[in-house]
Amino acid sequence: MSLGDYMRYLRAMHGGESTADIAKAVGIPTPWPINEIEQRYREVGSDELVAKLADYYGVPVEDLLWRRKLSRKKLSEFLDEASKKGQKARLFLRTGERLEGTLQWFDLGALALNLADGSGQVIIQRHIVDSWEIA
Amino acid sequence: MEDLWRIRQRKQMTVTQLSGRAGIPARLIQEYEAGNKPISMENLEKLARALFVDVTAIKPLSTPIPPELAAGPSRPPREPPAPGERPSPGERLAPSAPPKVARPPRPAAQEAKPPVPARESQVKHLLMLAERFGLSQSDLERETGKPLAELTRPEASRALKQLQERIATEHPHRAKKRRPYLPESVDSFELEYLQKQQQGAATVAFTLFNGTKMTGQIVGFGPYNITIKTDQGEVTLNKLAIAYYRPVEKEGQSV
Repeated sequence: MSLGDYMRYLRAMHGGESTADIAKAVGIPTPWPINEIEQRYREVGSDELVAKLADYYGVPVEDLLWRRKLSRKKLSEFLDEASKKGQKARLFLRTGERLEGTLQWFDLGALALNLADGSGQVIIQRHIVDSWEIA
Repeated sequence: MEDLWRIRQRKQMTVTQLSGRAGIPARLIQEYEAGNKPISMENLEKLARALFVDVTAIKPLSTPIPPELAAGPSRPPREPPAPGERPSPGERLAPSAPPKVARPPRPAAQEAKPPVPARESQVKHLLMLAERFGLSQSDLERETGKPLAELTRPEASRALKQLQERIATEHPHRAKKRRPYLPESVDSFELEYLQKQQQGAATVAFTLFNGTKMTGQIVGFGPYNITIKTDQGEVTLNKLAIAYYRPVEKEGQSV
């Protein structure tokens, strides 16, 4: 999971406060650097800010730093390829669940999967997807 | 949803700045802001990206920008005090505008800034391109005439350009290769889906991060939340808290 998706996940687990609230709590004047980390695809966010955020969420800073190397595009590229080749995707969620199916669509925040067990379509929020593979 | 001009002004951007960032002519942005024409989907996405907002945050057809706000964030010129009006303290100290002083000449060339070293990303890119031709770092250094660590930014830029031109000549199919279109900059698919579910009065089952399940009809949604009508009343779910959701058949069976 990329740093951006992981930060969204941490924010969700922390009560879903706004990035403006977090900016205030960690002592930075605007929420934009935090928004950038959550939304951009390239490597963003200074080491100092990442350390502050790790402290705020109570997670090891290394856990955030290695994720910064992961691009959010990795999941998009995987989904795009699976979709074009008509391959089934297997998604491992942070809830511990595993969902398998054919991709219907995806965008910045979510993806739609037609489940392989024939039980219909499910809309999955991207920041819950921890890892993925071709089924 | 907000008017384009309102978001732009909140972000303290001028029309020219927005035009530059979004790659849309300033005149067209002015027409959008005046509400003369609706913003096309393509330009809506460009504007959302440039303003760093969600595409659904911008009204496709703006209400016209009030004339007093149309001047943008720049300060209007100060009018001279009316007869009998007290001048401001600054004006009292400087009753008449001082004559303009000619700007001192630019410093001589010998005071020029030292060359900026090449960016790490430029060096990485150079090595990556060199690899395509089977060139090692030392081969590349021989071509550039100095160790990569000592390259200046313009030198690295020139070397990159040469390698890219070489790729274009020797492997034209690779040079033309384009990245696949990935709809990452828009939230439109999910919003369209939610709209369809709302219009069809579908019952949707939501599973939250903590395992809580909630079922209800969608009565409203935005980029960051979804409001559903449950048996207990209306509940607004923060999208961050949602793991996944799916429509439910009337008998209670997921579809």
